Amino acid sequence: MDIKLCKISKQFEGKQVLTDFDATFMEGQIHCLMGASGIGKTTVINLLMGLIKPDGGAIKGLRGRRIAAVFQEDRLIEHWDAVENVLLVCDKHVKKETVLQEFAKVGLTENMDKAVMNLSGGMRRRVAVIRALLAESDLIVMDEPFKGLDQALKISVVNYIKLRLADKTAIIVTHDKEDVQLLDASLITMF
Amino acid sequence: MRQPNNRELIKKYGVKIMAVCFWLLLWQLLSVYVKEAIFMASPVEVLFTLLPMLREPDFWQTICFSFIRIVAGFVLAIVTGTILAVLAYRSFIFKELIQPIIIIMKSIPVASFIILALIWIKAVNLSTLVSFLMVLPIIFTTVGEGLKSTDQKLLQMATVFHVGRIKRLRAIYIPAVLPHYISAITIGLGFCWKAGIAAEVIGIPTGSIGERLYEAKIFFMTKELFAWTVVIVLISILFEKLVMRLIKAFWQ
Repeated sequence: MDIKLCKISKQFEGKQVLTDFDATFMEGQIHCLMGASGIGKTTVINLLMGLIKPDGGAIKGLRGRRIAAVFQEDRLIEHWDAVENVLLVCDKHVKKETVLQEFAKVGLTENMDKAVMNLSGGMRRRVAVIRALLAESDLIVMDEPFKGLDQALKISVVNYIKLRLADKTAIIVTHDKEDVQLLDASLITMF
Repeated sequence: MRQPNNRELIKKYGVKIMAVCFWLLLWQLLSVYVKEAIFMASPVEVLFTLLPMLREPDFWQTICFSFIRIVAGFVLAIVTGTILAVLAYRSFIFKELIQPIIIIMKSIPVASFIILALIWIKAVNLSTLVSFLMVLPIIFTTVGEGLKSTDQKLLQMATVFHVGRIKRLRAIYIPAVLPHYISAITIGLGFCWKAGIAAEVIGIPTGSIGERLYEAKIFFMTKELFAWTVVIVLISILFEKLVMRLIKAFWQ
């Protein structure tokens, strides 16, 4: 079932962020959400995750969905290691060995037993991406998942995302038009 | 974490031992200056008063009597204070309801508590109640602050990923509350011993440390007074170390 945002409006402390915003996210497809800074991309993501409620309008097609997310900030448990962070959100059948294998696919092979506070920004970002992709879900939202990654790492993460997403619906906020092509995504531009 | 080497250990503990020696020496000099043991017993006199006491079964029974009652009040305050803090964190109405009582508990002088409590309950249970009443507001306030300081963004993450209550507690709440909890327990431990023994001195329950202190005071047994005070300080310090070790062991 497609997810539809119909005439969504939202304001924060008197500042109107979204006005009559419409968008359709088709089932099983990857969508890239683009637009200038401050246009409301993160607000759309937060609305989809149910973290905030719209002032007006309706969101259809979300009921019963399990959502996984890569937040704008990594939102990792700082004193836990990378594997523990991923296992926190996974079902019981996901084992440590599986997580380590998945880490290796995006070049995360060293320091995985250290608290994530000791990892570099790029490593933390990849941990956050893997956490979202290994969690049980049927909708994945990602807010700038490639932030802090160099081109080579970005390509490997893009390929990994495409592989893991399979037929899941995904909404990815990005600033880079290249990401749309790399992900074979449909583009939704916010004005 | 890196283990300290021998040199660092000697430096750390050497300084601590020297600091204790400095204060013992100052105490000794002061007692020499005062001259009269009835006003100021020297550390050596206190030691020689304390050593024979250690061989008496009565001494250990007295310690057990006070320890069990004061610690019972302390443990009860930790459990109740934590439950109340969690309820207040979850319900604004409950917070507003409980807040005036906590403020009153914080403001009432210990002596008033003790005298009032003596009207209501037997002297034998007085130290439990007083230690409970002294520690409860500290635990409530500090745990409440810890809960308020919980990272809201991590809680949002946990909500989005449907992280269960136990996992949420272990990953987000306990790390946020633990430093506050440790400081509350440290402060609470000091308070519970001070207030508990004060309650015993006023209520004079038979077989308590407070009773021994009271007897030492009325019979001008200054050396015994100092000796029992040293015992109280030692129990308080040892108990604090034990509690801290238990918390760390449990958390790790």
